[in-house]
Amino acid sequence: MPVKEFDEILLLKKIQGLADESEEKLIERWLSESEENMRTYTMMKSLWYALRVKGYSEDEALREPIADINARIDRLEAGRRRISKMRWLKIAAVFALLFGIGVVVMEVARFSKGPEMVLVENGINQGIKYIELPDGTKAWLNLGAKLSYPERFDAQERKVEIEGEVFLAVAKIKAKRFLAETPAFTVEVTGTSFNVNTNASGKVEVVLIEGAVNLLDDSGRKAGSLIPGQMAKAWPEGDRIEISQVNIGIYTAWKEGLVMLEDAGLNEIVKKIEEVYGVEIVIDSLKARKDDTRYNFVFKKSQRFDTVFEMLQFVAPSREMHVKEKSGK
Amino acid sequence: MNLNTRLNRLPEKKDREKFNIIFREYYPRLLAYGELFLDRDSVEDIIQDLMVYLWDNAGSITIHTSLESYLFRSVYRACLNRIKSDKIRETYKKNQALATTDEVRYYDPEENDVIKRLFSLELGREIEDAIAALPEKCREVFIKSYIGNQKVKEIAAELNISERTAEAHIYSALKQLRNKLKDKFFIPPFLLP
Repeated sequence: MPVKEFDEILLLKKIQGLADESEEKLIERWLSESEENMRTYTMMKSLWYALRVKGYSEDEALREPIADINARIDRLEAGRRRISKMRWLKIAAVFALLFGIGVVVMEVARFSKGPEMVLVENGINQGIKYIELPDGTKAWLNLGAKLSYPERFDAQERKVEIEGEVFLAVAKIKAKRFLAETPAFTVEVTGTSFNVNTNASGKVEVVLIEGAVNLLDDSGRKAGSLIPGQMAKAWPEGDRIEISQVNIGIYTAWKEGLVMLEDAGLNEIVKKIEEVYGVEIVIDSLKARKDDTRYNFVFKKSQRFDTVFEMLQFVAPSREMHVKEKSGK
Repeated sequence: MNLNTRLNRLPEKKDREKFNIIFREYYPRLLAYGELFLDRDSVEDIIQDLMVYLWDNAGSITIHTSLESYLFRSVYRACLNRIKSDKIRETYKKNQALATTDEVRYYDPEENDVIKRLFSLELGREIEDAIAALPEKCREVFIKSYIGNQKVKEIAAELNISERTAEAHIYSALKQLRNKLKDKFFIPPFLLP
């Protein structure tokens, strides 16, 4: 169908998201007919959105995003200052040790008020990041997510802060409850796995996979609780928490495709990589084959073999190995 | 244009004032651009994350082209990533603005020069002028439609005209704009991707 014959109003409807199902189908078919049609449509759509730039540039429209970004930077810088100040105190304590015990006690006492916070941040272009916290809790950070936690969990509670989407499998430690702070509420955990998702607008979603969690408000009072399969949704300034049943898979699928090997020997890791990529890895050194060092090794199935192999060489840098094409693969 | 060239690179040091100027300048354009792929909320998240990353890594990011190219490229990639992860999470249909999956390559700023120019400052001014030059009624309907993002039905009711007339105004406005901007923003088809 040539361009002129096609109803451009229909294209416009599609661009505005107003086309109904039968119209969508019609458009899809028309688009698949020629490059020219596709070009007409994409140009029209590009122009349509380019027209919005002016409205978005007005002070009124920019006020909120600018306030948001500056608030985020403030938080980032405040966190950094906090951390660097603590480092300094630690150094001061070491120096003080040389000069007199009285000072040491004072400095150490001040320092021990809060252990150093570690901030882990996942970029927006890499894959999913996996980390393990000092207490054995496992965390998967989705793109753009942030997690900060104390270097040591020596306080009464294990307290972490979350921004973005994070999946947590919390290690069971009865005596120390685990608290995950989000802008809207705090999640109190005993031994559990759950997915937290906060976005820039402040909305927070928590999905419980197993175990039990309580939701605490600013003052630490219990504002609700979840059973597995439920999701809690709330906004920072909101006065209520919505709880609903959800399909867990949808909220946790992003972290799938990860292969985790814990406390595994080199041979075990090599075997798993061979299995996933259909290759054969030959370890040349006899000594390496007999070595019984244990490793934690995590990779994503979607990662290229080269990358994973590099990781393997990095983990075991002294090992000599090479890859052999597997026949039939 | 002076402003544009001055801000087309990252400040070497963390300078909040300069950062805010950069944000003001690029945010509206990146947002409108990202809406080619995703709903507004998702794009806002993506740009905020990108800008924080930029702030946090000022001094360590090397940009070989221009800041503008770097930002558009980053938003393009982040949008594609998001579409991929949304697909896995089955929220794809709800959030995406795409008619076909093939469509994204037409918006690749590295491949399609038109995109870059369409969302550049220069052309923004041209577009404004072109809108100002539209017949009054036509302009009114058109502005309500794209700035207010009002539905044709609402506009028709508000201005007491038929839906068909409102549609015709929008259509005619788009057509006139396209004709006017043709030399600037349409390049010969054989040069397009």
